[in-house]
Amino acid sequence: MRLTVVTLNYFKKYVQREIAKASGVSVYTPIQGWRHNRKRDWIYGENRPWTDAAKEENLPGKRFREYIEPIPESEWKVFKGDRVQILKGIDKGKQGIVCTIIKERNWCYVEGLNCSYKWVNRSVSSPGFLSKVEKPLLVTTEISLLDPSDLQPTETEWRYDEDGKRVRVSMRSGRVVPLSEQATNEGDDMVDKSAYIEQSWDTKEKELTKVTFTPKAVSFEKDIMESMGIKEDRERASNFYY
Amino acid sequence: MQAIQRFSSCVCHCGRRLLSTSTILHGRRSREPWDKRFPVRAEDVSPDKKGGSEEMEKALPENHVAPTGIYHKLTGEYTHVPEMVPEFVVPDLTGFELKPYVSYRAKEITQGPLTPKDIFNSVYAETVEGEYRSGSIKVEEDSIKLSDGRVLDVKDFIVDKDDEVQ
Repeated sequence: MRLTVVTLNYFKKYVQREIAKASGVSVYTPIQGWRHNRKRDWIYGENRPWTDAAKEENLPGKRFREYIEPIPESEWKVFKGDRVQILKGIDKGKQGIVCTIIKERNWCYVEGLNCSYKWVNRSVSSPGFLSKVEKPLLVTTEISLLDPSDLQPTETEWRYDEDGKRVRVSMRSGRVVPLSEQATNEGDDMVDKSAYIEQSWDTKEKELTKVTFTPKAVSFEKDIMESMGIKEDRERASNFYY
Repeated sequence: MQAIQRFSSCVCHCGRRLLSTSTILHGRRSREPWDKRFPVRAEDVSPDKKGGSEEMEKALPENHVAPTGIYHKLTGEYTHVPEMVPEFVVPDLTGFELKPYVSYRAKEITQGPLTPKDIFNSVYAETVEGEYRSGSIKVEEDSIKLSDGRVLDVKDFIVDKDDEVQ
């Protein structure tokens, strides 16, 4: 059965590597070689794990005391580009579009809403400028997805449609809440796939989907020898002397 | 892939350092004090060279190369062994379309591991089916008679739990 997705997960591995570097210690002992010890659990915050700010928040001695509700990957409902209504906070009742998601903290940021204001570069001569930075909102309690038919907050559920695709369905009206183009086009590494310009070093889909391999009931070494016309008549000399 | 260079003079290998007694300049040593097209090596900053020192030499990595010959233990004679020279067996890549990276636009391909069953299905399954339908393979109660005369007995395939070697 061909079910598994073949992915290198290079981005995931990059993030894991950065976290391991900043939260662990590599120890060298002769004969044993290098051994990496993970010293502490990573504290996820508003900064991405590979940034310096995140690494500063994860210096030894820093402790995390909040409780995070565990949401399984299959039950995650909010994605980038979704239209949501804010239920709590200063912008309660307002609707906006989700711009950032931090799954580890169950956070989402709504564009332009639920912001904190701060005067920057204030001095005697000038008032500086007012910076407006979004504050995170909890996906479980402070946010609600909207029903596309009436644009009102509604509970949603993951269900399967007639084609077998997994979709979010509004519990109230049964209408499908579609995923935004941004969510479908963006991968793990936040690259817009539809806007990507193919380069000379990229394999295109046409070449990728060609099936050129025919399995043979022959070992790998023999297969190469046969295809390259390498004939090996020599027999290996015996390695025993008795 | 490996170019065999024949030096007109004697080149002896003493540990790490290379001594050349020829006046002809070969390869990288054709430029003075060192070939600036390449990054600096430990050899270039050794104490024998102008401007070099032990400290600088130690700071750079040592050049350890796999041997392609044998030193006689008593006489010290060096014998070059051609079989020790690595031979790269590389297929001809002219007209090869696959590149080192995959475009983001390419769709995700699902593919499981290649199992022995898949190999059987692609190599033998068709012929076996054809022979069975044509009647070359006869299936009886206790045995299967194949087209090349072999007989597969049911007894050979039953594994008794008592006989299993742990």
